[in-house]
Amino acid sequence: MEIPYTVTARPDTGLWNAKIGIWLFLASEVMLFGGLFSSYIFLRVGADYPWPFHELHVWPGLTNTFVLIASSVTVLMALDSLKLRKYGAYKMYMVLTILCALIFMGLKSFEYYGKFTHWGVKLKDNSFVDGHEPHDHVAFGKVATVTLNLEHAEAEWLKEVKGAAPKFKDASGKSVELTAGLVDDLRSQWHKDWQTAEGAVLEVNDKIRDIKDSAEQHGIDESALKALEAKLADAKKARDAVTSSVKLTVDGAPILVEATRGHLRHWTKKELVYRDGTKLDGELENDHLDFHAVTGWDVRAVKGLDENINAADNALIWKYLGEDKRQAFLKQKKEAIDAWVSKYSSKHKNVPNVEEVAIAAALKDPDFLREGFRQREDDHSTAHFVTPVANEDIKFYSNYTPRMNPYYAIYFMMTGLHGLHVIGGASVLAYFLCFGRKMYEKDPEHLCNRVEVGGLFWHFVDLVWIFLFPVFYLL
Amino acid sequence: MIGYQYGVTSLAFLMFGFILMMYMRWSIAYPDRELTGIARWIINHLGGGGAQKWLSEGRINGDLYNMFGAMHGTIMVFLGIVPVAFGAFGNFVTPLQIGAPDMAFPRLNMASYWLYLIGGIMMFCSFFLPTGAAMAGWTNYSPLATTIHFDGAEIFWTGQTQWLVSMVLIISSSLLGAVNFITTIFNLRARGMTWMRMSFFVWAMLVTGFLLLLAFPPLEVAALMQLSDRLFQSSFFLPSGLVVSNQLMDVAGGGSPLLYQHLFWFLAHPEVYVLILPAIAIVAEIIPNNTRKPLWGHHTMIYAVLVLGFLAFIVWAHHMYMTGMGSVVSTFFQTTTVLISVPSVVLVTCLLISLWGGSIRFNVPMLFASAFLPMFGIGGLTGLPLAFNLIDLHLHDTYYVIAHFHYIVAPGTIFAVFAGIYYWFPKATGRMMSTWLGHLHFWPSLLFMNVVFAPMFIQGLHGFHRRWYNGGIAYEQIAKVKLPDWLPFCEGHDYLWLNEVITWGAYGLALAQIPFIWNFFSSIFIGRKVTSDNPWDATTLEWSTPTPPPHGNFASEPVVYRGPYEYSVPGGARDFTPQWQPDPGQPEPVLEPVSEGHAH
Amino acid sequence: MSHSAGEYKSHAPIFLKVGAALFALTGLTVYVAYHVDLGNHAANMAFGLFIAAFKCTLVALIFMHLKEERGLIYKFLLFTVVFFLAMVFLFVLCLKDPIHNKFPEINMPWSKVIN
Repeated sequence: MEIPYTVTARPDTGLWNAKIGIWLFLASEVMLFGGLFSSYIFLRVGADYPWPFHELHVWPGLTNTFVLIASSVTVLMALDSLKLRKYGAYKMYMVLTILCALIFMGLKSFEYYGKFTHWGVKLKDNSFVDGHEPHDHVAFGKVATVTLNLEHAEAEWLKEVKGAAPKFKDASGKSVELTAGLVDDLRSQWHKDWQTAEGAVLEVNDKIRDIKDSAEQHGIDESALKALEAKLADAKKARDAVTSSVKLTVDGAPILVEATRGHLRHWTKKELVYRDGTKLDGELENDHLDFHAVTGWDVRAVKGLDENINAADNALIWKYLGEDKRQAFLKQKKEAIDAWVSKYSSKHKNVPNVEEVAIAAALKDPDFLREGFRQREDDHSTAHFVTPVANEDIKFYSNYTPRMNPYYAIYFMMTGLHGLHVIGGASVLAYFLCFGRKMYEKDPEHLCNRVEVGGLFWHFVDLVWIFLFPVFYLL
Repeated sequence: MIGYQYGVTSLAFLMFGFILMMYMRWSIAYPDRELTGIARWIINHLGGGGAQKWLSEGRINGDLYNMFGAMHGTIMVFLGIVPVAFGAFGNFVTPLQIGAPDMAFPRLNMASYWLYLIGGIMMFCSFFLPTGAAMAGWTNYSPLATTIHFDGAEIFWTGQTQWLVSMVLIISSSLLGAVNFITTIFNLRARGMTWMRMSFFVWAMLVTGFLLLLAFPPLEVAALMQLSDRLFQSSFFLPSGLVVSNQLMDVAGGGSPLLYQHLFWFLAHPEVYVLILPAIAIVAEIIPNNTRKPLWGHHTMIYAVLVLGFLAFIVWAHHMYMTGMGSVVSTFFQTTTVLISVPSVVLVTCLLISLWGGSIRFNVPMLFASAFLPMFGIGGLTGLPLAFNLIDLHLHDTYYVIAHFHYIVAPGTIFAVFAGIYYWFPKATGRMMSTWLGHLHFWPSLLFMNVVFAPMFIQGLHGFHRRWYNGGIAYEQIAKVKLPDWLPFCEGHDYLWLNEVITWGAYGLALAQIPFIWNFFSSIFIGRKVTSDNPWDATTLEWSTPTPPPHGNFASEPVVYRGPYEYSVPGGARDFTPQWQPDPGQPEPVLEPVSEGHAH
Repeated sequence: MSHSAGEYKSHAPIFLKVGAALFALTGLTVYVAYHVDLGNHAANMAFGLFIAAFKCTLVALIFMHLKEERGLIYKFLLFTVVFFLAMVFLFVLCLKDPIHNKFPEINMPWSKVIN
């Protein structure tokens, strides 16, 4: 028996197989994006940082909306042409649809690129500054000894050493060349040594147990037991002496590393520890962040601002952005307050000391804060300058990737998954465009059904974007 | 064919999960005893330096226990039970019972199996990574699951990340499978197979399909988000000010660990029904066949399973009573949770009443099916107290919970799976499995299942926590309580003694599976050949096909004339009337076109 | 349903009209989001989501031919929507602070910056 209803509909359900299949799949897709939208709401309601609002450029999103709607129409026209048995028109509309998909993905890549190259630094008091091209190298010099932790050690950090490849000596004074291969060798040697030592421990342990187990029959030979216990202690000591840390001394001039913050676990004035546990002893030379500021700043989250409107006047960022920027901020703040107070007092005529009340209310108003306490997209040509931000002032910094905050995380997650759906849908449609001819000649209705299924998926992709666009760009 | 592949793969994973459990039980019962021999040899070949990392003085350490615990749960649930119950039985039996030549989308079916297999292999291989496999519990809660295995430069090749990647594959596999099942049931039913003539098995598969289809995507979302948290340092599930190992995490924060729990349990509660519905379905086929009576309340059961499927989606937060949600929401979830016990009890009661007054044939499938009823009953009824949030605060994460859901899944679902294997084996291979070995498998299994799980209730009520790798030595030293005298065999023993009882019960259970494994493989080649296509004298359509079913399943197009459970119909020539047998003069059914049909 | 080529009449005009409506509604959403204050932010949000829901309905009913489908598909889509809404609302309800009996304040975060 063949599988029925692949092309024609089953009379009592009125549906062919693939149509049920795609609708079921779409139902699960609804739940997939449903899960993402619920997460969005959950993260937004629970956010403890200023939720980014009107931060994305509208025009790429808007253009993409138009492009996707247009592609939805063209894919319908393709199906329509196919049902009218106009294969030429079908091909044209399909080409248009795929073109739309390409434009969409092009714009999307453009948007993503802009975010990847755009950075933000959050200082210890939660003031925030935007810019480009941070150089975050932690310069750490006069390194005389290096301690590897064999449990996780890798040789990646050697790439961050400045100058010629360093030479090392091990504890016995033999010179060694530190490579990934050597680390692996050391590690397996460590495992081997440990296994041997552990074997000795277990062996003695077994003997002790034998004596104890046979105590009932033979009685305990106290002296033998004592000797064994002493032996056991020695064996344990020998095993515990097998250590995972390998200390290497730098042979020749002390070395200098310029480490990337992301590769480090932590560092102090005297030591630097990589994520893989490798410890360098030396002296910290410089851990500034050379930052091409500034395309925007934000002091809305500065500590104390919820109670005192002047809390941001001496925010840490002004130390780096300079007096001019600070004065501009004070002016902008004053204008915002004045506008707010006059608007407020015209609405609430009978309130005594209206100014005080107005300002208290202002501090709870997101729009007011957005007006006076942040600025975005300065004129790039004049605003750019390099400023070294001291590491001790930095709380967190990142480019505008999922790392930045949960808003960008969910933005990338949803638009990224949506983008994958666009690519998937477009590939399927392209397949029908390129290889549909044979099926069309055999049974045009079969191709109609396939295109309808592909189209249904494509409309769903459009439908998701209809929600994504306002949720991320507008509201 | 895909059904066989699913069956063998998932049985292998079940066995693997069982081995992990035996290690854990050793650690709980004898935390001061070294592993020796092959047990130690295996540990020595795990990733990250073997014994050095996972044993201390030759004994199982906490890390190894956590790893095996997490992987035991994951493997049993996602790689064992679901594929064997839904993937294997669903794939083999469903098309046969509705008279379909195959699943609606055979290629999708294959893709689904391969995704599952690749996911499973990745999960298995993660044991040999330097970090070992995932070790944050099968629920994989953030922030622990996000921040664990964070040492070392390469976060992608850690057990915890690989767990997420394989879960994404396994989830995708289940979604494709669910689409395929539902389409098959909707559109490939034989002529005359109306909705109410479908066996309960098919209905349960339909509901299970919907549970998978609509509940799995949120977990896929959660897995992708956690992947992003691990690989791109985002903060979906990481709160502000998170300190790990005495150091402030260098992440943005502002996310919510609770969000993960919601997304996880939105899947994982329906998943419980994915585990149990196929089991009830299998039992519901075997009981009428061996009582030679119609299934009591066939239609009631269908409505009950539909209601159960619906309610399954709105009970999830009863796993989260400890998270401090408001009393209104807790009350809501408490109410729905208690409500969902109603259809569950309806199902079991119908099966129980079906036994009444039948002349029961106690063959091996029936033994397992009838043992299923009390075992599932114990598991289900002990679940009720957990639905109430006040009691749950006391019992949360204790052995009581472990005992409760293991009673449902282990002597429940797994017994049903065994019953199904013994029942459909002759259809799949053309040979019967040995009855004698079947008895040798059943009776010890029944005994040891109870030896393993019943004492856990006692421990759990006394506050034993599920994650104590040494079995609660500190607890015992402080509490110094003896077991109550009225418990049989327990006089004078303390609570820790039960650990040993359970552990030896588990090893006994392992031995009891040997006859099954031998029976399963040897019967394929030397089992007694079946003499007819319908060796059990059953009524449903799968027994009308040639044995084993060829490609395309049926020799000629099957036509259905009656309901699925017409046993002992008064006046019939035999004590069963198959679905494909017409009454004298009964016309051939036709497919009526849909009445509200549309026209372009 | 199957048709032979002869009996099928083109739906192109309606597709183009709906497409145009979707374009116009998109423009409206953007305009309102940037230039019209409907009283408070919540009202603006509700408006934007309402328009999006309306557009979504248009796409589903006309582009995806749901208008012409019957029976089965409606049934399981209905359940999907119910479960989706249950998920959204119950997730958020769980965020309610049981002690102060209120939700976290949306977009008013700086009073509770922790670190």
